Amino acid sequence: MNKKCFLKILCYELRRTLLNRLFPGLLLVNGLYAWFLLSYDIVLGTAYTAPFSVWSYCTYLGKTLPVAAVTVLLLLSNYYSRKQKQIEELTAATPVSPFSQVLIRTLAAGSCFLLICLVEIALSLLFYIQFFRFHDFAAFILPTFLLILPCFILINGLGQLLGSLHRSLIYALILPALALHSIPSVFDLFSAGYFSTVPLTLPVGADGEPAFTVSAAFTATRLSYAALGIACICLTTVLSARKSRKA
Amino acid sequence: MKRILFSFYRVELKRLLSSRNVITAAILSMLSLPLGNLLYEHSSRVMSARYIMTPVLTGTTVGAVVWAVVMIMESDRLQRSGVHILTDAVAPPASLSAARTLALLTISMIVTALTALVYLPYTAARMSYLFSPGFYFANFAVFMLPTWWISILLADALYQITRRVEGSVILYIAIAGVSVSGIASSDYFMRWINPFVITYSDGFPSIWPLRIGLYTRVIWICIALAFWLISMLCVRRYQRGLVFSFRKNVRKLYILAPAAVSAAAAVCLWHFQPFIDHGPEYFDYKPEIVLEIDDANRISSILYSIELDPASGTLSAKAEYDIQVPYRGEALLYLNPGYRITSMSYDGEAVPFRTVDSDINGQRPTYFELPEQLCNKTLVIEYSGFPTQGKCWSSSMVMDTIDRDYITLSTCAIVPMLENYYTGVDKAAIAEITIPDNLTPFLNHARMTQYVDNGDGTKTWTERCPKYLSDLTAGYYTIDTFNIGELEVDFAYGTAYEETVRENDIQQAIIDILTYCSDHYGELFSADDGHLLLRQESSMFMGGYAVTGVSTWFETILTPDTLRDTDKGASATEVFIHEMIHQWWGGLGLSCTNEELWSPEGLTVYSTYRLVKEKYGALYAQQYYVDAWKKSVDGQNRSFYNRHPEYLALLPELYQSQIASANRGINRYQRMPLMILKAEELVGGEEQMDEILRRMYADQDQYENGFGFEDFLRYCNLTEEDLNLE
Amino acid sequence: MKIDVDHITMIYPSGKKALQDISLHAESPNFIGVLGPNGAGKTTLMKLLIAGLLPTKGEILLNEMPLLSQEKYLKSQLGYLPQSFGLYDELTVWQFLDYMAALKNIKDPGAITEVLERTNMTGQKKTRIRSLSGGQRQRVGIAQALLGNPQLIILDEPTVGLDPEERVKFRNIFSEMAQDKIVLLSTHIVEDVQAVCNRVLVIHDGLILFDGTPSRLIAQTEQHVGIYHAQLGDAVPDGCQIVSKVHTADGIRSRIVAEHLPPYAQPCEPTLEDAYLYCIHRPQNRIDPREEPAAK
Repeated sequence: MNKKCFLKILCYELRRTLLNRLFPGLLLVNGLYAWFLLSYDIVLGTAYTAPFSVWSYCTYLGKTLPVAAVTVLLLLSNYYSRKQKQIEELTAATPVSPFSQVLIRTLAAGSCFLLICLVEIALSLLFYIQFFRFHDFAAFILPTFLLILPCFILINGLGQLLGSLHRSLIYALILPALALHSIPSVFDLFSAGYFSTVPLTLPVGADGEPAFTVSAAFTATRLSYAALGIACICLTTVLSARKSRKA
Repeated sequence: MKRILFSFYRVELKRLLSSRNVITAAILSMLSLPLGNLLYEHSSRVMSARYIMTPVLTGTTVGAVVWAVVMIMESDRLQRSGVHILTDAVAPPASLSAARTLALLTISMIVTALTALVYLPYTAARMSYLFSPGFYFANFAVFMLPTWWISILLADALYQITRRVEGSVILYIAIAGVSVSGIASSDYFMRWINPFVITYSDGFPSIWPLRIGLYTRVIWICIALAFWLISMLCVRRYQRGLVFSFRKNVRKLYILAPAAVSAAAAVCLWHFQPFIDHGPEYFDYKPEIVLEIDDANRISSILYSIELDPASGTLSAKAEYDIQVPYRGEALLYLNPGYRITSMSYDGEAVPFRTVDSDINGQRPTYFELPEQLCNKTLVIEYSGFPTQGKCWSSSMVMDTIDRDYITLSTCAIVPMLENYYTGVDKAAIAEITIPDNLTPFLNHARMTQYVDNGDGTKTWTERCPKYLSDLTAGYYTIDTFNIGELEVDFAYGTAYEETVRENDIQQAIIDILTYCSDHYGELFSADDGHLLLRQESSMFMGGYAVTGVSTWFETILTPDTLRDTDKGASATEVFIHEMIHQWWGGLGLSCTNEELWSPEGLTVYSTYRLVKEKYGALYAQQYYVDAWKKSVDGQNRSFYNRHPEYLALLPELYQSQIASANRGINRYQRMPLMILKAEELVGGEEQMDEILRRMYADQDQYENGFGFEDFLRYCNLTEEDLNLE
Repeated sequence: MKIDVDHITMIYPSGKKALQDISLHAESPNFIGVLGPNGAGKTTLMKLLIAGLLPTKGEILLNEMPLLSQEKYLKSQLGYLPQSFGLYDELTVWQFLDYMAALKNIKDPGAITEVLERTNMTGQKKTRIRSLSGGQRQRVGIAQALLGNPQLIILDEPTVGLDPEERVKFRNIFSEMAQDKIVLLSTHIVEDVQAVCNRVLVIHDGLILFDGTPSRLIAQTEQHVGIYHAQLGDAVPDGCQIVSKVHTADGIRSRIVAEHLPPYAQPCEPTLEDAYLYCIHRPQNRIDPREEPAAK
């Protein structure tokens, strides 16, 4: 498929996803939840650190991620609805490769996730500026990527893989996604549990705050999650290629 | 119309009863009950909280969500499947939709009854003699069924308005989110889907939680009903949209009128609720009313005649004050905000008074002025009402309730607090209190002894007491009396716990603790005429407290769960020991310095640790006491807002108050014991410390204004810097 | 029962003009066939008659009273089969009819047995709807419309999905029912109308082009239907509408309708189908959609 066609299809998918009746509502829910978290929870600081410490900020992101993940899963479930399957009977007859289809979905869902994250990040920055007159956000950038990207890739990959097997499996994935947050360990996919417990074990510096570091184990776990997500996406491609051949 | 509705209702009921969605929902909501206890252990550890409250509340919330989903799905199915094209042609869509909702409400009622019956044998077996069928079924009727109804009505209303599954689900999540979020964490009225109940009690059963539960359910049913009725006006007609259909339907007065009535009822019930006062959410340490105080003794004697009516939960009382010299100017009295002064007279003449609607710390001020020149007359205040809880502690305990089986009233929920009128007479008042004859009363924490049986199922108890009554408790108590040397001990506990007390030999545990204290710190002489009352309280209260001659603990210390498992029961065991040790250290520390660091709590906690160390070993004491103290103090030191108090002012007042209160607690209960432990090291060890404490206890009479921190340092021959923990 | 449609115009909120100033009178007994191409306004007319839509202009009277004030009475006397509809898949045929009967406030279970027999569904009465074939679902739809002997029956494409034998059977049932009722049958199958209707309405672009007996419709087509033989590649003569083409040894035998038959065409006996095609293709009946419609 040429690049122009690919982009055109992607634009249509994005339009369908973003202009879906569900999305604005979900975005609103995400925004409200984020603001609520900031003003009731993060304002007190995480693990005795300042509310605007990188630890607190990561805990905030970690706590918003499950809701954002559920949003992405709900949007993904749309790709596997009965109506969509009927449309697929038509699209399956076109020369678009299964890989392109999976990629387009990943990018479309990714854009939604990105939009939600951007709203949440914007809210937090607004909160910090307004509440604490805090402007030094440079230290937030790297951990933000480390938190958000692997989480999205894994959720997206798992969601698409399970969705291609059966739509209801996506809904089934929502439950563990919600239940498995705040595990105080490097394995916590959303990492709120990790970031709210680790500072307690670290020595404090001259300013009374533990310096922000992430362990090698944490980084390795994040990378493995991303790798697992990519593997899921590849597997989905293989599965849908096989399915379309059968069809 | 009624006939059509009934006929539709019948067919919808029949159809829904065989619907797979409905059957799944019924099974899911029934299965959800045990989830609560699997995921969460209630701290009060009483049987009725564990086997009734937690399962019922879990089922209530999970079921509410499940039934809402079913409601939305069933409403949407008609549209999605296209059946509405057929049904709309033969039946008015609004009636059919109403019939469907009513049918689902009926089914949810059947499922509630089935759920209650299914879990009945298990609950009865687990709770054994503590099980009360009436209380068990009342929980399903008060919490589960109405909440399911509210949820179904709201879900259907949202669907009828939006006509979209996604739209109604998102709005439902938002409405439910307010209830489950932290915003409403301890608000009885906002929590519609997850009713707020602090805990239940086995020994001192109170129906207050059921009373407020039912009241809030009624409010929400009114809200949901009004909303639902309005949504019936949004049922789409002539294939047109929301606005057009609403305009067409709005003339239906038979829908609009009940909706308006229902909404008005909800507003009135919410605004005029009799349970929680309208004061601030947190305890206000700086009451705004500043009085000009003179110390003149103005009252010679008082007679309180108090009647409690458990059926209505109300009190009606009369307070008669013999006034020697009236106060010059306007005087102030505080009364529970739920009470109304029905009359106030002085020397037979009515006294004008004004009650100000500004509740604070569970009190409401009333101003009055007596004719200054009229001396040696009687002031009579009559008042009655249903006691409200102060909002500042309504989230953690139920302070004032008058039930059939249990009564607890505090300060101005018993008698007015007359601010400008002092009395020089010790125990100037006589209190006559009429309560059901099967309850044992305690006034100002002490046993009441004299009574008259009225022969009508009530007894009137009479007791001499001071002007202020701090506490009135009555319940089913068993009182064991025994002696430890010269000391006579009354051990009062819930009759329901007789077996537990006997099986676990609690009496011996008490003797061991009191003997340990006597051996280490000297014979107890703060007791009331050589008499000590140890009393178990309802689980509605947290922890315990001690006043001269009386120590009380919350119910949890004697629950079978706590006694079975000492590790999990560490905090309960601590409370048990702590409150008895308070008899030795209660009179100390009246002068508090260093941000309330020095108080009786520090010494009591330290002594508890020592006793526990002796009883359970050094390792146990280190883990549950010293390490726990260090962790708290370390946290306090590390806390951002303690390091940067300048940021504290940016926080909402509620958080400021919470942080201040947490700091106060840590200073008293963790930092001070650690400092005493450090002092112990510096003075040469435990024996030396015990010797110092023994001397302090023996010398306390010399400190009329209280035994200060400086005094303690002097006894230890240390300076404040020596005890610095940093 | 008497129905008067009085100068009705229906414009949808989207701006689409579905019906333009149409009038109609019907009294029982009456079996009216409604013919018209897709999008002509047949379904809109039916929905207006069942009070499922509000007309933009004009009024419908039922027994000389406004229809909207008679909604309850209308619904108690109505049997309606829409073009597309849904059924509760998890219910059996009997249960679904029982459900509909209850909605229609019919208490006699005999009514269900009767419609089951009439629609030949007695054997399937215990079958769940999800396992029915398309034709059987259509029969359940017809059965629910016949429940309770309604006085006004509105059938929108009722024989879609039925095999020819079934179709004949059903149109006979409809015909029997029409003895003392008003039946409105919308269909594309002209044959059905010819077989059973005593009156035919031809609707096109929101206008009633014809209202009268089938024989009158046919009669006005006399001299406008002809047959001629053409060769492969011949153009269709101007102003002619081909009704059918049959390849024969002599070439293609074409049946045409036209305002003026070409001289080489041989006039023949018109059928109702010819008449219908002639009616909607007559130049004076054509409406330029860009123009405001003239009042009929």
